[in-house]
Amino acid sequence: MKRTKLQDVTVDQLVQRFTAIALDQDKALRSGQHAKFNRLFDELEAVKQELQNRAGDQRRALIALLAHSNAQVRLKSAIATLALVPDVARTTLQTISDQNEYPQAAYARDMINALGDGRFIPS
Amino acid sequence: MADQFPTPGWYLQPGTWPYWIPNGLAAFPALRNDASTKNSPLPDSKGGILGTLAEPNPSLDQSKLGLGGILGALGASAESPASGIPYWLETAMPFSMALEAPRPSNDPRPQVASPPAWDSQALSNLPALPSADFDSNTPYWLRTALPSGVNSEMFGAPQAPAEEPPNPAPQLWPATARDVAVPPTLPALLSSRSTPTPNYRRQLNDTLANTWQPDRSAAPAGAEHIAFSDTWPVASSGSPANRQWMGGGIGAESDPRVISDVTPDNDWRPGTRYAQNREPPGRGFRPLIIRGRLVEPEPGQASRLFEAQTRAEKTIARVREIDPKWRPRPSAYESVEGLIRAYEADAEQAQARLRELTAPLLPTIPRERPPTASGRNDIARAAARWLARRWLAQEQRYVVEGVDWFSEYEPSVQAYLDSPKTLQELQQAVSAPKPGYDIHHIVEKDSARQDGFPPRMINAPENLLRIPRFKHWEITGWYMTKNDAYKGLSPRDYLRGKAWTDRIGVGLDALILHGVLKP
Repeated sequence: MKRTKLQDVTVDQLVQRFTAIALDQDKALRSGQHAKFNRLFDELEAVKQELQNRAGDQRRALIALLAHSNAQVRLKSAIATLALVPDVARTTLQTISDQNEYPQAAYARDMINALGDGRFIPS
Repeated sequence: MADQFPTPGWYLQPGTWPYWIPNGLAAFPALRNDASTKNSPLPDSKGGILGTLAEPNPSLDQSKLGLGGILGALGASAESPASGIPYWLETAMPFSMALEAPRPSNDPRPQVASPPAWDSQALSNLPALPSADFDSNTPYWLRTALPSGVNSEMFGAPQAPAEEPPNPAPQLWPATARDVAVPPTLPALLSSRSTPTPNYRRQLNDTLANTWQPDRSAAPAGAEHIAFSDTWPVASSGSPANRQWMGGGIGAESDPRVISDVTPDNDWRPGTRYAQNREPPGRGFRPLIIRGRLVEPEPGQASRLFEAQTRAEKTIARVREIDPKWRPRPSAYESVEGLIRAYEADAEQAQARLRELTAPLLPTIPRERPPTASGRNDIARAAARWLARRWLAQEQRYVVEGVDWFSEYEPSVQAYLDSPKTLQELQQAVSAPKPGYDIHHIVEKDSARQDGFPPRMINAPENLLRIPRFKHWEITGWYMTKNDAYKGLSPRDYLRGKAWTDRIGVGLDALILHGVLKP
């Protein structure tokens, strides 16, 4: 399969890539594949970084994912857009927590706490 | 066609409701206070919590199953999943929906396909998306990777207008005797626009409209998308009530004459026989105002508009039974046909949301015992997580009929649903081992040992808690996985070399985050 550099793809494709990775993360998390999850974490970080590097900070394209049906996609897109739309992103995290969407609910609460105590500063 | 349906409202009569309601957990709560709904003494009954979460058993007469326990009617029924959907709901739902309600045995309506099981091929497509290798030329995953709430049009949609029109409220209100030159106040619209609400969907919609600028580099030359316009009226997102197209009056939900046979894929055409057959019951064809123009729907249009609105309202109401905050995304329109399409779009969004809320989340326990422990654990944990979802009302957690192999997981599933406890309660419970629970170290024992902490500290009574087994596993996974809140490190890596007190702090946090320990 042909591999494409992240720099060569469009923002739309990066968003789709972001979604696919997050869905894989969800599967890994639910089946206890922690090493795979961690590898996917790095991949997702690279996609997010590429979006951020695009002109105008194209992480804003991830805002659409805040309404995704999968909790992991919502979680990761919320974290990625905290610097752009803090209120909406934070509300997304809160909703995951309030709905008890485990295992993501724990990560969402963790991030909310980190925002509160300054451990995580959106940038 | 109407004569093929039962009389309206028959499904509301208790006498017509069988107890089992296969696959009806999300749709219809099991009856309370009815001993026959719990722990049915049938030969196949296994009792306990597992009930009809089970895969269908051809030898088991589903119609005789009782309900009880906590898992509800989660199982795949041997019967057609649509065998009991009320006709009005069935028409407002995709055939794959797993909603059930009784239907007379002599009902002549055709059977429909079974709903997707949680591990069905269709659902397994998503996790199968390739992530290690990225091929931009592969349309398959590009399509399947798109979230259901997002389509290619969204990605290509033009930028929303920078400024809202002077009157941002939808220019649509019921025609009355007022002078149309002076837009009357429509309470439903005004209240929806002026009342502050914490609804995050609305925030999201607003954010999408105001801040989102899609990348157009990939769009083909000349390609344009249906878009928001600074001149089009954009209905406020949310309830179709905001698009009142006729004078007030009763809603379709309360009108027993409303019978919808709209299918999810319907493709109305103006002037078709279908449209001619329908009239808004008891209503005249009042004009409506769109974009400041007085528009009088043709009879066929009015009928279709009425039905589209009815269908949207029904479906959205169904979604909100599960997800009260859900709202459809706004649609733009400038004609009666556009308004009809907007309602249809709302209904389809609602149907999609229903699928998301039910089908993927409804775990099915296979009758055959999975050969591996991990396979069995995954199924049990999926069931537990599903039951832990907050929107699942307590009264819906009924079931009894189980699967033999799953019975060993009953305690773990039940334990997963425990409410948070105090530290003292969790510590005291250590002396009373119980199925479904594990002994958990607040400070992880292996990493503490590796960092040189003595066993007497690691195994001290203060460091030991009895917690639900599946929670224990989730906390262990949380320790092992990279986390944005820990600067991309896993909590375990973050704690390397840290003091005991730091470890206790993280350990207690983990218990609170996972709903084991009271904050």
